[in-house]
Amino acid sequence: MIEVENVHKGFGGTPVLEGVDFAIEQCNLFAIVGHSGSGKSVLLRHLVGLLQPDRGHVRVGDTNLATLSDDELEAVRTRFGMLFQGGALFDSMTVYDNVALPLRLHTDQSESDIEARVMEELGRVELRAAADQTPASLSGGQVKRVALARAIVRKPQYLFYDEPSSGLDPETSSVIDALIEQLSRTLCRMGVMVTHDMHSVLSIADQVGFLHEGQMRFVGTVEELRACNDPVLCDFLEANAYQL
Amino acid sequence: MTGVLPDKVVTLFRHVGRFVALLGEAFGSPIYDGPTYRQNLAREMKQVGVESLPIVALAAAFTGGVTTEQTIYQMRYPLIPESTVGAIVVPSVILEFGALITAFILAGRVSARIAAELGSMRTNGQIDALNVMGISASGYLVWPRVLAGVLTFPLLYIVASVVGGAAGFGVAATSGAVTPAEFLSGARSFFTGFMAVYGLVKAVVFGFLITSIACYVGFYTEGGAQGVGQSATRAAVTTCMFVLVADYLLALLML
Repeated sequence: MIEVENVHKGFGGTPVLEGVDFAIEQCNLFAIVGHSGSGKSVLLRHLVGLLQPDRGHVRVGDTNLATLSDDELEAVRTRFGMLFQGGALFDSMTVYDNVALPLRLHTDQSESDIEARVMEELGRVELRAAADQTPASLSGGQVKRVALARAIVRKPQYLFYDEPSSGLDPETSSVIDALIEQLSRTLCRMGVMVTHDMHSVLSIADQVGFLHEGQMRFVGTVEELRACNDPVLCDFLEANAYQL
Repeated sequence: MTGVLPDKVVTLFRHVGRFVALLGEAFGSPIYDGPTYRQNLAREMKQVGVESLPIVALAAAFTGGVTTEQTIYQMRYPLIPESTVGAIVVPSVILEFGALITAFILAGRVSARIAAELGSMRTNGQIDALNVMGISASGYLVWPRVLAGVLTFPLLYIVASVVGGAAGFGVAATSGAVTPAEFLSGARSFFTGFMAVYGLVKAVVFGFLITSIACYVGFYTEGGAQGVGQSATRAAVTTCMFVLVADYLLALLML
C-alpha cells in the first residue's frame, strides 16, 4: 500500500502541493490527472523518493520515505519500477544492456539467467528483435516499450508511469495501455500513472485522483469520475472530451 | 556591494559543500557489479586517455618546439653556453608545460564532454532513472570518470613531456644554434628525479580537478539543451581556473 498524507511542497516560495492525501491498494492502478502545471509529476517524484515533502508523509508499505537514509532509500527503491516520460534509456548501451542493467547491478544472477529474463521481458513488449540495437535507432513507441521492459525486469512490487502515452499515436498508446493493464491485473503490481490521456485513464485505471491547484480535489473510481459532481472536474473532463 | 558579496560567498560555500558531498557519496557508494564498473572505467580511460593522446602529443610537440626557439632567441649572447638551451627547455617541459598544456587540452576536451554527457543524462531523466532503480547515480557515473582522470592523466603527462622534450631537441638540432650534444648535456645537468615526481603529482591533481569539477557541473545541470551547453562551457572555464590555482599552490608547496 502507498499512503500520501498531507503532503506540501513548494519551490522558491511558490506552493505546488498543498496538503495532498490519498492511498493506493495493492494490485490497483491509480491514475493521477490534472491540468498542466498542477503538480502531477512533482507528486509522482515524491512517491519514488526523488523529492521529499516540505511537510507531510509518503509511506510505502510501513516505510516513511522521508525518514530513510540514502542507503535505505536505495534498498526500498529496489521494489520500484518506473517508466519515465521520455524513456530515459542509456544511449551508450544496447536495448539488451539497458534492460539487463538493473539485474546486473542488483542481483547475483548468472549472465545466462539474466539473458533469459531480459529476453522474456523484451518478448512481452514484442521487441526481442531489437535487443542489439541502440535506443537512438528506435521509434518513440519502441523506446517506451523498452523502458517498460527495464522497469519490470526485476519484478517490482510498485510501478510508476510518467505520461506513458505522451507523444505516441493512438495505436501505440493502446499497446502501452494493454501492457500496463496486464501488469496490474495479471501480475498484481500496484501502479501509479500520471497522464493527460483520459482515454487511457477510463480504459485501464481502477482509481483516479484529480489534482487541482495543489490539492487532490477528487479521488474515486472511474465510475465515480464519470458521474462527476464537481464543476471543476466536470470542466476538466469536458475539455478532454475529444479523447473519449 | 554589501548585499551582493554575502550572497556570492554563500553560493561559493554551497557549491563547495555540494561538491564534497557528491564526491563523498560517489566514492562511498557500493560497487553493485564489478564487471559493469570495470567496463565503465575502461571506457572512460579510453575516452579520457587514448582518445586525447594525439592532440596532447601534437600540442606538446609544438610547445617544446616553440620553447626551444624562444630560448635560442633569448640566449644569443656569446657568454651564455649553448647547453643552457637544453637546461631550460627540458626542465620547463617536465616541470610546467607537460602538465599544464595537457591540463588545458583536457579541460576543454574532457571536462566539456563529461559535463555535457552528465548534463544531458540529468535533463533526459537518466540520472533519476538510476536513482529509482536503487542505484547510486553518483557512484555509478562519477567515480569511474574521476578515477579514469586520475589514472590516465599522469600517463598523458609522461607522453607530453617526452614528446615536448624530443620536439625541443629536434628543433634545437635543426636550428644550427645548438648542437645536439650541448642540448642533451644541458638537459642532463639540470634534470633531477624530483622534477618528474613533481610533474606526476601535478598530473594527478589536475586529473582529479578536471574530471571531478566536470562531473559536479554536469551532475547538477538545470534546464534543457541550453543548460547542457552552459554546463559544458562552465566546466571548461572552471577547470582551467582551478588548474591554474592548483598549479600555483603546488609550486608554493613543493618547489
